[in-house]
Amino acid sequence: MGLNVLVVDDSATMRSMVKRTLEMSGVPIKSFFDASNGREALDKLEEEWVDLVLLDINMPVMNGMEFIDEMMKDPTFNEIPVVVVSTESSDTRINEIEKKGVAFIHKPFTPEAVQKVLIDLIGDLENVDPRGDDNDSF
Amino acid sequence: MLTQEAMTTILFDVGKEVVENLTFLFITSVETDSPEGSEVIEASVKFNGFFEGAFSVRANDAIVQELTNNMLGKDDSCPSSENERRDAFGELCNIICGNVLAEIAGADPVFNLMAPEISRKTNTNDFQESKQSASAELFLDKGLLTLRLNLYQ
Repeated sequence: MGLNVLVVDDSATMRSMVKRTLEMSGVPIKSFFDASNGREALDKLEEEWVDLVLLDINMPVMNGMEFIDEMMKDPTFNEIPVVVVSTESSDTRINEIEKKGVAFIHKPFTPEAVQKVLIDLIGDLENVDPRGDDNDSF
Repeated sequence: MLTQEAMTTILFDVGKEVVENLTFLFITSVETDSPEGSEVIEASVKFNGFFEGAFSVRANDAIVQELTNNMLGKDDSCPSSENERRDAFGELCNIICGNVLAEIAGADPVFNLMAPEISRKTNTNDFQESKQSASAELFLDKGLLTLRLNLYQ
């Protein structure tokens, strides 16, 4: 059992680092999906079962805030936990992000910081309940 | 606005923390240099918002190769591609810049960072330090990582 995680960032390097850090944090992972902007991420949500989204803010085509707004409009996706991973440091901007009901991690980040945010967001990581097609409750 | 000396200290401290945590390259106390006329790679980010300016990071090929491999979790036997190096160095520049601006301006102000630009340059030591600019040098095993911040009036 593990999570299907969608990692959204226009930097392939950062997507790789996010994935490795997630694995190091002890989060049980079933598979990773990649997207380089919000539009690709929305398409990926239509194609795959996703249990968790990790998301950058500054991206071309569709940025992270626009993606969150679009995702929240869709009842199929609006309960998927979202974590914004960003260099953003302005309290004003961070408050705007968190008001959308998503969590926030500041870059650079450690496995411990990721683990703490995810435990707060989705609870006990050892007993995580994915949405995927092998989950009878969905 | 902070003094130039204070901005230089912030550049160094934030640069050191980000470089070490993100790339696993550790700053040494052994001074190295980046000879004038040598080829360097520069990543630069323009920003606006609370104030406007530009931030850049410069390093030689060997450093960029090593930090890219470290960021991607590759070993030395598997060199990174040119695209990977550009992406990694640009991302490093972006993260240092964001953290430097927060340290200088505090938690309230809002900044907009543009996409990083990567270029090859001939190294020159002609950076004009002024009240509105600062630079810092991080000594690494394979050479120098130079951070530069310019604030526009």
